[in-house]
Formats: sequence, structure tokens, C-alpha cells
Amino acid sequence: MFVQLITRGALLRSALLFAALLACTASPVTAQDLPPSTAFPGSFWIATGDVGPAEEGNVVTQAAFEQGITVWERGSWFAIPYFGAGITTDSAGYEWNDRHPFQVGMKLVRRVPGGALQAGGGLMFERDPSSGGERHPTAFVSYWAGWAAEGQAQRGSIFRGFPGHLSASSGLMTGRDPDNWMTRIDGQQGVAVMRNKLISVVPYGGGVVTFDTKRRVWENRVTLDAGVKLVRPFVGGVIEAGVAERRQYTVLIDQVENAPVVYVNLWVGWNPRAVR
Amino acid sequence: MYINVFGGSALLHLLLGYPRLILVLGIVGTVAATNTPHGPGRVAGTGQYLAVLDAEIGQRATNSDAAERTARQAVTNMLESYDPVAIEKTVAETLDACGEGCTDLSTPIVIRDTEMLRRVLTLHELDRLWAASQKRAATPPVAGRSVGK
Repeated sequence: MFVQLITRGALLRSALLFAALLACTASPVTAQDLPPSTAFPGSFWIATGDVGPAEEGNVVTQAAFEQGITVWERGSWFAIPYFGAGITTDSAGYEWNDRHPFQVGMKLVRRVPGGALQAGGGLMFERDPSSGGERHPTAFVSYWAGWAAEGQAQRGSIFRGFPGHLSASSGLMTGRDPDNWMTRIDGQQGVAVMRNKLISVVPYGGGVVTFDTKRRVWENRVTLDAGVKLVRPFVGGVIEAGVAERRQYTVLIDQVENAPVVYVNLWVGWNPRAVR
Repeated sequence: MYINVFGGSALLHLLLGYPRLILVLGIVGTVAATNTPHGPGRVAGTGQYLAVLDAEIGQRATNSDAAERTARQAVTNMLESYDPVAIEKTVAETLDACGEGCTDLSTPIVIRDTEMLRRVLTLHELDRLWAASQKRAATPPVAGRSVGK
């Protein structure tokens, strides 16, 4: 507790100084007066871990890089031409996990509370083994939102937060199956049971639903995870590592399987701006 | 792919580092300037942009040093006359103005950390100065007071 030390005279002097400053502070500037700038949003992520029951014992590593340039923005809207490159490889050496797609496109992004809504299209460059074609049109819509809910958690709760996310994406996503419109809905909710300056420990439950227009067996699945992860955020990104028990229902053949999974994910994002 | 970035309070600490920008744009305006396609301004590069903005437009905040001193003095006064209700309300207002980038901080966390509390209250005072200058600019001049009449 602080001791009252201020005299009435000091308060009066402070108030007079405040008033004097108001009288001579420069004219206000609005957000519209900001110097024009160009932003270069980009991201890199890498995810490595067990595939799960579909390919038990197989460890897949995926990485992707994307760089864009914001050619137009207004409030929470951004128009961004971009290029992206990815790589996928696995420990079993399966041909369908040996991928290195590249794409160029344009997307419209709308920032929404806690996340972003995107729609875009362009060209993807990846060999289709059935036709030999290497260039395909792509189009997508996606939504992502994440939350930490740490504020509520502080109000009397023993937990340090309730982090989670919800995402959905739909589109022509892969050059290996260029005419197949695929949809993925993914959600996860956790409880931060312990948190210090370095890491948080988060038990969580999550699920993924995927389906497509071509009715591929491997694209029509419901996957449920129950696990625990260690999360380490840093400015511009986050790294997480976890273990989970995965239960997977392959809808078209009515098959249910279970397997444990171990994984490590890293995401880094940037948005440097150059004042014009 | 996006991964939920939680923990830390990078955006608030960025704001604390640029008091002149708060004087010129207010908290809401400064946060809006950090808006990115990725999220609420916590991606790499935001700090550098705020530094460039500070250099570009911070100089418009004439008397900014004096304004900062006044804000700090007001905070000292507020802390010494410690009114828990007023302080809680002020912190809550500041976090609210900071928006979703500051949702990882709650009012009790800030109040428990004396140094962070002082800095958050200073932000609020600077924002108050900014709001007052906005109001002053929007008020039409009173007739009959100009020189020569």
C-alpha cells in the first residue's frame, strides 16, 4: 500500500501543467495520417510426428514457407499476392508422402476477433501422378481463430488458461489430386495446468474432420486426440511438443483404429513494414 | 497453418516502449497500426514498424517529454493516493483499449506486478492526453476571442 504524500498544492500544480500541455500539444493525428507503408506478411511452419493409426509407425515431417506483399489494406482487410513452397517427407518412404508443392496466388484476408478469414486462388505446381500434369488451378477459403482465455482463468481459477483453436479450410489443395475439393475442420481445447516463464503444460482434447468431393477413403475421416503438450511461445511464434492417443474413424470403410502419437510443431510469423 | 500464440504480453510491452506514439495515436490507434493478417500485432517485425512510425510521426507530438513527465507524475499521484477501485477500472480500460493482443493479461496480473502497474497506468494517462487533444481539435473555436477583436 502506498502512503499519501501528495499535498493539495502539488495536485494543483500537476493539474495546471496538464492543462498547459493540452493547450500546446500538437494537432492530433489519426490512423489515416500514418505514413503509407507496405507490409510483407510471411510465415514458416514445420510439423513432425507420428501419422497415427492410418500409417502406424510412420513419422511424417511437413514444412511450409509463405511470403506475401500487402498491396491493399483497409482496417482489417488485406489483399495479398503471395508465393508458397512446401515439403513433405516420411520415414517409411511412401511415394504419396514425398511432396514438394509450390504455389503462387492472391488472397483476401479479413482479420476477425482472435483469428483470420481468408479466400484466395492461384496456381499450384505439383506433379499429378495420374495425369502427369504439373500445373493446376487452386482456390480456397479458410478460417482460423485461437484463444487463450487467460483473463477469465485468473479470476479465481486454479488453471492458468484455456487455450484452444478452431480452424476450417476448404478448396483445391493438392496438385496430386487437383480436381478434388477437400474440406478440413479442426478444433482443439486445452487447459493450462502449469505455466512459468518458459513453458506451459496443456492437457487437451481435439478433433479433425476431413471430407472431399471425390470420396477418397483416406480423405473421409474423423480423428480424435486426447493428449498433453508443452507449449513455449516467443515473439513471433510458438513451439509445441506433445503426446496423444489418437482414435481415427475412416468413414467410407467403417473402420476405427487407435494409436499413440508424438509430435513437435513450430510456427513463426512476420510482418515487416517498409514506410514508402 | 496458424498456431495459437499465447502467453507473454509482447504487444503491451511494445506499446510501453513508444509513449510518443500513444500521445499521437492513442492506444487504439497504435494497436490498429500493428494490425496484421496473422494476428493482433505480435508477429516479428511489429516492433521495428513501431520504431519507424515513432521516428516518422512521433515528432509531431511537441512537448512529448513534458507530457510524459506529466503522465508519470499523475501516475505517482494515483499510486500514492491508492484507490483500488479507480486503479482496477483504469487497468481494465487500458487492457480493453489494447484489445485482443492483450487478452493474455488480466487486471489482477497487472495489479500484482508493481512495475507493470505503473507502466500500464502511464499508458492510460498518455491515452487520456491523446483523447483530450482529439476533443480539443474537434471543438470549434469560440467566436470573439481571436486577436484584434
